[in-house]
Amino acid sequence: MIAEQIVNGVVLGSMYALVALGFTLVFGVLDKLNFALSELFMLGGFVVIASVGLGAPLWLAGILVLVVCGLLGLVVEFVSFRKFTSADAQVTAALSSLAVGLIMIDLVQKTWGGEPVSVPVPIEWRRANVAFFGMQIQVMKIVILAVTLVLMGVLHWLISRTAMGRNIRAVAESPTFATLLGIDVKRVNQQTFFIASALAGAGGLMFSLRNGIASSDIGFTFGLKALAIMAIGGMGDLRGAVLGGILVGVIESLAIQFGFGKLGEIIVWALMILVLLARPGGLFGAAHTTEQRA
Amino acid sequence: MSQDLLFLTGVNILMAWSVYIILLSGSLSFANGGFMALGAYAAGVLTVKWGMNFYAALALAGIGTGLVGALLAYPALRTRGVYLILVTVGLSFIIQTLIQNTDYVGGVRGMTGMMGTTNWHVWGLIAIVGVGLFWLSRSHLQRQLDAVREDERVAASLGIDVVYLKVVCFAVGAGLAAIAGGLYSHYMVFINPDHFNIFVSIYVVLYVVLGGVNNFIGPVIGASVMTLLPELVRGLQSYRPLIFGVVIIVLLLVRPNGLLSFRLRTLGAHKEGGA
Amino acid sequence: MSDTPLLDVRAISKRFGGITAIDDLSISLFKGDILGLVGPNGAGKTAFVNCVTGFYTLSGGAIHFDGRDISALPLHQRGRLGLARTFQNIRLFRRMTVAENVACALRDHADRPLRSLFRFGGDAGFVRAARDLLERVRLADKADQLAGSLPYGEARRLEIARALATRPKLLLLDEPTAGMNEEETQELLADLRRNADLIPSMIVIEHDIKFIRDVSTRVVAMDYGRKIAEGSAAEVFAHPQVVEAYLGAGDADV
Repeated sequence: MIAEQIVNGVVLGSMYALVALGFTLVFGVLDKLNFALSELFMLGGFVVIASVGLGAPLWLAGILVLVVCGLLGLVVEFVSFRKFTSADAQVTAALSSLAVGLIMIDLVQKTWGGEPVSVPVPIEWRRANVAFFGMQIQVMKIVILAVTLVLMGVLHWLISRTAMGRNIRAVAESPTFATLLGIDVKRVNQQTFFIASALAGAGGLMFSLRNGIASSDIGFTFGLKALAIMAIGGMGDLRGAVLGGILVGVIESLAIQFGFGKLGEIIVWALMILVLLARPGGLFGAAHTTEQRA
Repeated sequence: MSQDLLFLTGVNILMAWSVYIILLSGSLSFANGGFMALGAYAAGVLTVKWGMNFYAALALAGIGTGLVGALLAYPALRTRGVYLILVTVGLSFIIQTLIQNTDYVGGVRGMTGMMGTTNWHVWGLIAIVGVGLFWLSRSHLQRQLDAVREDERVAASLGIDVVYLKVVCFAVGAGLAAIAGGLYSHYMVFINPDHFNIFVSIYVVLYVVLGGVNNFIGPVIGASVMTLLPELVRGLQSYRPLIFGVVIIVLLLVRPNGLLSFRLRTLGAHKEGGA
Repeated sequence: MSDTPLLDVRAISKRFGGITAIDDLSISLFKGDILGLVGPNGAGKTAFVNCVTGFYTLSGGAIHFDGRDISALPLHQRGRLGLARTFQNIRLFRRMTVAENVACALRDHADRPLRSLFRFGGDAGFVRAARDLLERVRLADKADQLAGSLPYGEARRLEIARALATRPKLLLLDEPTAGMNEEETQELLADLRRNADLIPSMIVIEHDIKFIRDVSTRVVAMDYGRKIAEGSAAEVFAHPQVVEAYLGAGDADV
């Protein structure tokens, strides 16, 4: 039972990790919080519903999620981040993206109503199990894990192997320096937002496939946890986001297993607060002390 | 205007002020919905389960939550900017989840039986807090708070105890949110943890951002406009979040300090101090 | 008590990661001293001011001020003990008025800020005190302007007035004449002399060697975070290591 809960936790955590990767990418590059990502996570499920409703097969719907959420990410960048470039505008940009998130929730509720909507996944998909070391594991969970791993692999390749990734890393290191090198920072910001938003959307896609529903409130009930996970893993630390996501997913699953129920929801936030206070560099990063700005 | 609407406006003004008071020292709190919940439940338990006098319960809820706020603030204020936003968002979730799991106050099903608040209570408190904030705006303390908000390290080097001021502001803001919560629960008769979810915290912060962060009138304008406008203009009601979101986005782009962006001077000419 | 120094910096060091900004530096200063601190850019002069005033925490060593070990004290307590400073890159409260910038630094009710809420006599005392300080730095006519609107030279003077409002025992000026022309520099010198009654002791970081000669009673030269020479202005500027440090840094002012 515990092993199964750990597997469940890893599945849950991999979805958290996708959104946390989005948060941490944006923070790493721009030093800003993009609150709209948790609502793009929420939108992921609804894009599936809409595309399948229009007759798209599920694999195409999945790709559409990435594209649509990515494009919406560009809108968020334009509306809430383009003008607020200075370090002083950190809070302003966060508030603005929060407002964009509120609009997304409202538009979804206007279109699909406030109640959860079921995602058209063939029931046998969700029923199918395979035996694995004596455990019965839903095929769906394996698919989710596989897709997540592929996406993470692609992200790793993009960041570490491509010219775009090199530029993104340069801007994350120092926007001023990157400009001097002739890197188009605006373009890098857009690329970052597209990737981050597509990842958040993918997280939402996985979530809706696992649960069979999409709901307008999962952005702040689940998506915002990814924000905490980003902080736990170290803000701007990609590896930390993945490890943090899986850690939190497993802890939450075990908390349910041991009868803590919803109280488990506190763990992620409490852990985040502790990490921010005691190890601002993240749970897995080197414990670097930063001299306060003079 | 209906009694309920008048009441809701009043509570939102108090909540906006509770955020404004914390913001006086330069910290943005997304935990005030949580403090409101603590006050609402604490006052409710005191009157309904312990039979305490309404006013005493309110005062006790306010002071108690203020102390909790001070205890939380002391470590939390080591972080700043977006980090403090994260910490306060976390506090909001933690408080809500704790209440959901406390059977003594009904858990997710909520709690009932509180009564006794009238609009007189709410608006009387607004008058008192308003006079207090006006008094503050003319004081040496306000000047020191403004200095802290502009550059806290420099302010500290001048001998201003920044941490102390921040903790005091956080405690007072938390206490005011709690009293607003106590008034709310004793008007609504029934409350559940969902009444105080993260959106309450977010909305209240946005009231202040909308109305203006530099003077104590701004939050009143922000809270009033966003509570009343959708109710009074026919057909707008169901578009409230949409309109609110758009207004905030546009405002941040064109008037980042809010509608009323002037700052009241603490010395000399009392005219506006520029945007 | 003239045998114990007002400021006694004992073998302090400050490291950032692998970089050493200050290395085993000892400086002492007596009441009434005006210490000129010179050295090429990056010598650690500003870092020294940051260590003394509490903007940096020390990596090693100790600082005693007025008979107390202040090495571990936070910023505001050092301010209250009588340390005040200005900044190389002026840091005024730009959205507050000129008068408010000075007034917020005035000591009040033994530093219990909440007490000021219970003063019913109005702000007359603060207005008078702020005005007096502004007159001393020739800014009285700008009292109601926003500090952010002041031109460079006036902003520097306001920063000095704000520091003086705390009634410091030791004033630390970080490049007070940076960006000023000869005439403005002379005016600033006159301002400092005129207000000598409010400046019991002072440390001045300056690149303008003439200014240092005019103002200081003693000079310390730094390079690579260390003290390389100490003595009268004439002695220090004749010191071979100082000459070399300046020439090496490509500074032809010597």
